[in-house]
Amino acid sequence: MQTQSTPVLLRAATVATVIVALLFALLASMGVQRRQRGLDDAGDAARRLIQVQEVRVAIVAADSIASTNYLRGGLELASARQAFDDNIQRASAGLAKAGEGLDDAAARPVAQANSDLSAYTGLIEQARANNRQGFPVGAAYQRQANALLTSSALPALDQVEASLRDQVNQRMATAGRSGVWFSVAALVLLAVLLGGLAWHARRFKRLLNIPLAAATALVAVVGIYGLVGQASSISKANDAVRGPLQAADLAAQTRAALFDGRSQEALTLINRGNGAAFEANWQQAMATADLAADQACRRSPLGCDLQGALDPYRSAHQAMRTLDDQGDWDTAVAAALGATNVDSTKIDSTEIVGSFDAADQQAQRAVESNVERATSALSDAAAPLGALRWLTLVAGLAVAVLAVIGFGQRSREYR
Amino acid sequence: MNAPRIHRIALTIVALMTLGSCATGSSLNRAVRATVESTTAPVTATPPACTADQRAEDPTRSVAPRGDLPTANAMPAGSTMAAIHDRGRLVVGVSGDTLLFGARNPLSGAIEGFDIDILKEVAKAIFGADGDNKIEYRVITYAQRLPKLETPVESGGVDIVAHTMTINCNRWLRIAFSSNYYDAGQTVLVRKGSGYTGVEDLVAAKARVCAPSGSTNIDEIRKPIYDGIEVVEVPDVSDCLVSMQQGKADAITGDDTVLAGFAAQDPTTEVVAQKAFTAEPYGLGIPLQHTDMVSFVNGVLEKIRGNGRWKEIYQRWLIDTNALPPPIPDPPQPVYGRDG
Repeated sequence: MQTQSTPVLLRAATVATVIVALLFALLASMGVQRRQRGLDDAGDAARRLIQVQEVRVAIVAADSIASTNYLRGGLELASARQAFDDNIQRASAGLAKAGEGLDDAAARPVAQANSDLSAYTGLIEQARANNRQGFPVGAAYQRQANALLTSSALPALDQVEASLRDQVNQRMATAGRSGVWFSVAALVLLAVLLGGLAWHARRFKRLLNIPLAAATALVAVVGIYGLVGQASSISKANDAVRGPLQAADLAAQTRAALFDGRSQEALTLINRGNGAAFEANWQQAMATADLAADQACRRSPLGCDLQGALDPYRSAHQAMRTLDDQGDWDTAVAAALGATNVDSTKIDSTEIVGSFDAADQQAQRAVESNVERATSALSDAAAPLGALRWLTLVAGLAVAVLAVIGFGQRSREYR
Repeated sequence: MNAPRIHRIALTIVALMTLGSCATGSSLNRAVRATVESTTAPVTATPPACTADQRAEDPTRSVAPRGDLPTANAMPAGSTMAAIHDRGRLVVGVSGDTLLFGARNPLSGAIEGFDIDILKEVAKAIFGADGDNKIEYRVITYAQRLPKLETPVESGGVDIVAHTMTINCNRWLRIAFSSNYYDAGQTVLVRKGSGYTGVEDLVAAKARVCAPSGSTNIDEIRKPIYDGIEVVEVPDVSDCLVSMQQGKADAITGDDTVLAGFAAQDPTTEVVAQKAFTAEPYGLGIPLQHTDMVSFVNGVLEKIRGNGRWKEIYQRWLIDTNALPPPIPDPPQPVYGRDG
């Protein structure tokens, strides 16, 4: 009875092990691949997020240039005008890129920002044309242009950024979840092999079937190596998102808030002596810049110089506001514009422009260095997964072959 | 290999793999936004309104000057003017965009116009010949004119407002006015060739007419006799010109003075030839409790009416700019009788 059924059982064990081994090869390598793709996609979404933030910076920078230039009256600087045009161009090119490959719902805020941007440049042109002729209605155009950004274009970009942050998070979650395939497949295969070994040991009173033991060891080694390797990939990727990527995101927010502040600063002067509402906006913008810079530093040491860079600009702004509040509007404007022909006992008129530019450059460096670190860490994290996928596939096939050999040794004894 | 050992190894591997497979992803936070406490005062509820008896009286009645105007730099001790003199500057609320009356000259950065020249006379009377350098200008919107006078200077308020402001009974409940220093009237600005010759045409056409919030102009155009007109409300009068240029309004209603400034900024528009449909006597706004300042300012106005300075200012801003045809009218005569 026993001798009759043993060859059948052996055949059954061989077939079952081969099937499970092939399933392992398939499912585990698929899981690894999903993980790898998840990390790659998270990296792509992160890059797009940074691009959209560059669009935001270009828009608020353009607005700060336009409103500062407005203060010069008809004598606007050609270089400033060029810088304005460059920023607008950068913003529309960035928006066109951001809109690529988006579905309708996701593309809507991009389209909104795009149409706002062209309406905005129209309003700025009107403000300029009126200002050049000495017509005060220009200030109303300037106010409305700024209001259009604040009330429509920037909130649209907020939406785009929020959905890209969601995308990064979803892809990271996908990458995290996909690990379960590998583990389950490896565990089932290991269980089948251990079961086979145990049955074999009981049935044939032999201590060890070498090929089966080798297969078991191979699965254990590949399983542990795969788990450790994947855990390290995921942890590297998590560190990149939590650290430099979040810091880059925050540094870009700091930079946008800084430019917003500079626009509001000019508006406090354009709406001469009655800048209260715009000064409140300035304080709001700077508080946001502070908060973002502070958090950026906590996330990555590459963002820490930024915090200190905001203070000189803040005090320069406050010195200028004091002058305007005391009624010395002309000197305040000269200081905001960085004019050099100013009574130096009243204020260091180079301070605002100098400290603002320094803070902006610091912010830009913080964004760039963190983006670089984050994207390279994300691709470093994803890279070993490619090799692991192949290793898994090969290991599964090898286990199948070893099972055939291992059980085959016993089958031969029954011929 | 015995079974318990196999079990142990298997369990360890299971534990390891289970741990490894449930890695949680870290995620990006939402954009930050700091919260800053708002310092703006809440909007006052319904403004007070005059009773029928109060309305029956002439709103332009102001506080008569007390004796001779005090000499500059010698303000009566304890007076509002002495406090201003001690501070070293007269804080004024003006328009920054009403061409001809109060507007920032984009080339010089200076605020200039009829209202500004009147304020300079007041400053000179307090500080002497260089008084026009001791003015601190605060550009305010139409809607801010009364609130700024109800706020102390230290908290962002002003000493005096010269902002094409019509004297009326309801406003007298909140602020004081000088005597009338300019007679304006409400009319409409339309596109050249639009065919509108007066406010009746706009009513008939159910046109969109723009006016700034908080102005007497918007109160007037909302009266039942203008039913049919669609009122376009904007924060500042210059926003009306923007609305009209953007095609969001067919006409602007405002004082003839302000509209003349708009026509100068946009040659495609014109003030209708029809006579103004309201009388808008302009007064300088002064905090209600500063009656000494009211009578002082009235003394200054008496002086410039008498010495020809008023006519010089009129010539400079309304005749030389071609805003109005000559001749220069006589300055409006003051009415007094209000308690000081």
